Amino acid sequence: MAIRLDYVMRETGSNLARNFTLTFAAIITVAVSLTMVAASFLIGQGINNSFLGLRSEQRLFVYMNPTASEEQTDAVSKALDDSGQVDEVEFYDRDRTFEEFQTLFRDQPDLINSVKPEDLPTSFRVKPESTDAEIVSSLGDSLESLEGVKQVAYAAEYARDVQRSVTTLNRWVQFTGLILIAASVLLIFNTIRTAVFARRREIEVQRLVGARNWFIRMPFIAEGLVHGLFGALLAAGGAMAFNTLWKRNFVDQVSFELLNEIRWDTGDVVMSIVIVFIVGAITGAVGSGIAVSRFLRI
Amino acid sequence: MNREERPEKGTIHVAGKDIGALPGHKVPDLRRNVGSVFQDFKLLPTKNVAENVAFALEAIGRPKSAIKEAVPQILDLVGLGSKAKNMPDELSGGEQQRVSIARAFVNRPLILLADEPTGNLDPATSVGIMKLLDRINRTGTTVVMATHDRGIVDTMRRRVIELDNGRIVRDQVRGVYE
Repeated sequence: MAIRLDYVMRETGSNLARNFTLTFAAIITVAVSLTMVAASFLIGQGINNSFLGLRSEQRLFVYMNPTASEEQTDAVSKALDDSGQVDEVEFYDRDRTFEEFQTLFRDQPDLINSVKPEDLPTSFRVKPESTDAEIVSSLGDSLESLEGVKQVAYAAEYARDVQRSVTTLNRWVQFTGLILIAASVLLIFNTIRTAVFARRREIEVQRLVGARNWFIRMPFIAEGLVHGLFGALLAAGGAMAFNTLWKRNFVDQVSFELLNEIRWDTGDVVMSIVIVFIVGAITGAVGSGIAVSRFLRI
Repeated sequence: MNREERPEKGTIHVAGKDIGALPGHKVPDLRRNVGSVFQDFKLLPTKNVAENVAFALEAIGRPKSAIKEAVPQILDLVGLGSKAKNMPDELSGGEQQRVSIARAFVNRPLILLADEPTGNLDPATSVGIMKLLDRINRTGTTVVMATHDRGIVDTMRRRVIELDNGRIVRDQVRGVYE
């Protein structure tokens, strides 16, 4: 057995070194595609987690008419304070709404310059007592009927929009990831095919003297696996980098309130790395397996 | 005979077995018992003589210790003991064929199959090769040789089977080329 492991490692090593450019290309492609797989897994987990968060954090946004009078605004405020259904109320005057507006759209200076605080409505951020959707809904309806109230928006709806966008984005990431995995399989296939061709004399002699089929195939399958696993190793680093970047840019930033919800824990990151290695190994084995069965006549 | 190619018609039996009916995974065993030598030697140009022979033993899973023992032995047998470290391109045609024979015989197969072994060699060298094959035959190994070399057939006077268009037209115990 010792000679076989020794032999396989030696042969695989020389195969890899011989065609380094092709090997390198294959590994990089695997790495990029697997990083996308990891990222989409994490985002998916985050979306799942966030549904739970939202369910316990229903919010109502009561938007006043820009032309509403002070009495009307006070009346709404009083109604909210008196209501047994309301847990917390927060009033956003025009300046505060404008501040929030500026933060949300800070990368669109033209938009900010075209809007003045007077153009923006005032609003009440309402946290209902109940988490029951029906009760919250009827609370919203009764608030909407008050004078001066333009519209009542449900955080859930707003959040659902964000959810939908992120899910769509995630689908695109998955789609791209899948295409890249297919490209990886092709590249590995090509690399192994080249390796088989380069070793055709040795293979012929091995066949003639009666080497077992798997013995002849093994170094090439091993080579494919190396591509897949090395790519996975790089992708593991990529996943961790993605994790750090996401946390830094979205979770800890106050303005992306709802994107805050999309978070995952270390366990998820570990899981994504495990997935990456499994998919990497499969990609490598499939790519080389197909090449070997098509080009290695036994 | 080693199932490199399949016959269009008819069957081939080797050592009592119909090799056409052999399942794929049994073919390596057949080939281990049919050592092959070819007109073009089929040596690996990047390995030296000893490594070429060792390669065949590695391929069938022999341990390093056994290989270390067997290779010098077989090289002595074929008369290339002193050339173990030479590369194939440093050898003459006759010497390369000897390496080929060494590789085919090192595992003591039942049959040594030689396909035009002297095809690329001059008459003088061919004699040497035939002497070697004769020596191998004396150890009990069956030697099956395909050849167009009239001189060798007439000299050796062994069993001659003549084929014409895939048909056996003659089978003589001590035959000549005709």
